Amino acid sequence: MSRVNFTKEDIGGEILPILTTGLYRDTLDALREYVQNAVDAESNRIEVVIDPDTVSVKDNGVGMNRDEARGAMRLGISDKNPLENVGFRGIGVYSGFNLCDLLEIYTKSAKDETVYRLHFDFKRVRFALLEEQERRSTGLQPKLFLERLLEEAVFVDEADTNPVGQHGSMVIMSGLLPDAYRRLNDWEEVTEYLQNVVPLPFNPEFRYGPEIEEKFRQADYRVVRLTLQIGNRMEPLYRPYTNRIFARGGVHPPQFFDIKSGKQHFGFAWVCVNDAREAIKDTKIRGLLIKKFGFSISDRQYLEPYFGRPVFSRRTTGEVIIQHPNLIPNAARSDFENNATRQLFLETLPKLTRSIDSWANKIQEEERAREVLAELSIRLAEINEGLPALQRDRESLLKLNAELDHIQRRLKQQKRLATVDEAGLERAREQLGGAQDFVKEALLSQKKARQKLQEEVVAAIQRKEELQPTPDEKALTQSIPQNLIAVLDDFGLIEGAQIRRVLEIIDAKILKAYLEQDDYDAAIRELRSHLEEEL
Amino acid sequence: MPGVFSDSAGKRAVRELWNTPLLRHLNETYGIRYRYLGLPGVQLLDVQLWKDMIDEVVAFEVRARPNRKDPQGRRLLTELRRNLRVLGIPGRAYFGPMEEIVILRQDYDGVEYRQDKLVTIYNLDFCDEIGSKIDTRQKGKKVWRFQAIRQMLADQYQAFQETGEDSLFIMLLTIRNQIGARKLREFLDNDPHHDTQAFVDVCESTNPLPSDGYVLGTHTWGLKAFLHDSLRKYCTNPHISALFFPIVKYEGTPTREIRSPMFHLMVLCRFDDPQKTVPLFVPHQYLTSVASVRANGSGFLSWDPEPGEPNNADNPPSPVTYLENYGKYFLKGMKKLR
Repeated sequence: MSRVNFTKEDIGGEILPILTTGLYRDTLDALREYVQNAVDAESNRIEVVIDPDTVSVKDNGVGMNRDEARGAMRLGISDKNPLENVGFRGIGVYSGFNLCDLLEIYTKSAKDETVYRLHFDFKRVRFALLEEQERRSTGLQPKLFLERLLEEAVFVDEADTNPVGQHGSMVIMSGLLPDAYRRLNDWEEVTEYLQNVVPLPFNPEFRYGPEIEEKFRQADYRVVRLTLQIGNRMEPLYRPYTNRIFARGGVHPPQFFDIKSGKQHFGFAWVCVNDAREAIKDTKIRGLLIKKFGFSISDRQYLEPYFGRPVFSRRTTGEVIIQHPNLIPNAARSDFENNATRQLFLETLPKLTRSIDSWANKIQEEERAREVLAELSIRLAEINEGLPALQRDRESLLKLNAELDHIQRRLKQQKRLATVDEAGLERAREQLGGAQDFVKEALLSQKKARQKLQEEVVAAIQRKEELQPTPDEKALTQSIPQNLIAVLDDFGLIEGAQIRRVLEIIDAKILKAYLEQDDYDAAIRELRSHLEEEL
Repeated sequence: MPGVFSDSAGKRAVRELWNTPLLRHLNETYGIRYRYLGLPGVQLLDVQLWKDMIDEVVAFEVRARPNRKDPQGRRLLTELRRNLRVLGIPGRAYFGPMEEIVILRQDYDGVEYRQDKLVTIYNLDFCDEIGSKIDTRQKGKKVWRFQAIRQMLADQYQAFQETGEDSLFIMLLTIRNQIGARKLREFLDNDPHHDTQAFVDVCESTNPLPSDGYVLGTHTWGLKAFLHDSLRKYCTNPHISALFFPIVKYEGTPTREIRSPMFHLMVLCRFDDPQKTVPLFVPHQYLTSVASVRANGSGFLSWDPEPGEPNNADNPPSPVTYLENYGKYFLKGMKKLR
């Protein structure tokens, strides 16, 4: 088998559009590459300006010296360390090929006085490729090879102006193609996209931002300030979290979780849980997002299957910040490159989600306990306030007694109450005890009063009736049926089976149920007496 | 480069010897930084010259005549935007004629035009006749150059009220020294300010206006009177005091072999409190007391009085000296840096 070596004439110019079109199908993906380069250049400030025909990305990063600028023009060769940088494939600088006519990169390193300009005449490349296609359609042999194509259209020179200051780079894409601008003209879409690309600071309207950024500083995780201008609108961009995403403005401070397995430290997570026992309403925010160098990996549903109770994935928001150098995002940013570290990371995730589950559950149980305590305290206050008016209302007191029993049971059920608000619980118990004592005493007092009244009535009747009943009459009295139905039957007052059934129910379920036997007998006798007088 | 106006020696002299010393003086003496709005041209020559003093640029660029290579006529605009980025100055560029955009509040791309900050330099380099109308994309609707200036002053007043910033601003107005004699006559006969009338009477006696046709560089006095009177009317409401600098005449780049006499007017403006004062127009009797200047092809400035103007040949023209002589009211309350 004889070996055939490649030559420069074995790589045609067409490889350039094939590569760039394949890798950067979306205009925003191409923009991302330049923003990503700015992040990789250790900048802490980026300005993106989008006009209908010009886009620029300016950073205050380390910039490039002549050799680095020369190196950046290479295709598919990168000096970047994949363990430290997100962009390292050496294609990104050509991502504007399908976007604009001319790409220029002005760059200056702090150690070099010269500003260098990388010049990519993409319009010329496209034109040359078209010419080549036309030439070949006439049957001629190919003659446009990648090397010659790039030599003619790509070069680096010394700039006669300095748009970057002390150090940094500025990418200018001019002659933007109309389709590209249509895609880049949507503020919301571009903002959302950049939020998933750049490690932005937190919105001042998110109360826990400073606390989390402090954790970032401790963990040596850099944030990059980015200003976006599209047409007239210019605003700083932030991470998408605000107090408004939580049901009650974000009551619970964030919790931080280290992610490690043995000696392997993958990074950390910050998590906030909703302050109502429900999913966070904004579906774009709920769930945890994995980030590396500000780049989002997949989406917020990625971690949900790892949760023992998926509901807590939806009730929480936050980020998993990956700092392990061997966890390398894949080209589509949909996952990490498959390697042993990724495997170990995936095996560690259930431990993380269990911790989050447990923390969120505890917080929400405490939340529930607080709610119950607040509700019961309000009700007990109402009850206590209304008690004096009910002192003589036996029926209401009986109902209240049952309600107080129920409140007592609920206070016992909320095991976390003592831990979340011991003083509040004690106050509620005091209110409950006070109300129970009042009701008990009121009922007892009523009972005594009724007994006394009954005795007085009997005595009065006896005094008024001069004649003692004869033995026959006494026997008759004693034999008088002692229930409601019997009394009414004696006077022939029940007509119809339905009425009878209703009265039987009243007799059995209400009178006998609520009155003690003595009271019941007295009532029946009193009824009989009234009926005798009336009828 | 179709549509790109190349720089003449006279124009360079105006920029470098007339505008720059004043801007630099205000910057170095009072710390004034500039927000620039106007027609800088694709090469941004004045912005480049003043870039260390400029914080922001709002530019306008009209389409080049469409051709096969640039069917949408965007090349000039693209180049301007690119040059603006390369300069590293924040700003934006609108696509279309400034007059149309300022009045219709939208550029050719549908980008909304708005002014949310106080402008400190207006560079209104019309390169054309001031008294002309321009067509717009709205069928049948034309806008006057002066209408645009009026709208800009209204926008400026709005920004002044909203921001409360110090209101000193400079207007650089460059027009072709050309106007229809009949149009000018209509203005002169139509109740001009009494100072203006006196000036016109003197000028007419030595250099009378023809009854018809165009005057091209021969009757600067007429255009000066027209411009001064019009600006004074526009400044009265919204209550702007103005310091008018001498007219500077120069030769622009000839177009189609026809000479281009140009006319440059620099005005320093400041909003007054309408409750307290009436706007002040300085110097008093500007038309008759201030001589015109010529920026010649060798790149220097000299006095070149029009009929009815004094002869100041003793002192070379200097905008800073002029400011020191007449600008006290405008600099009132401003702290010197050193």
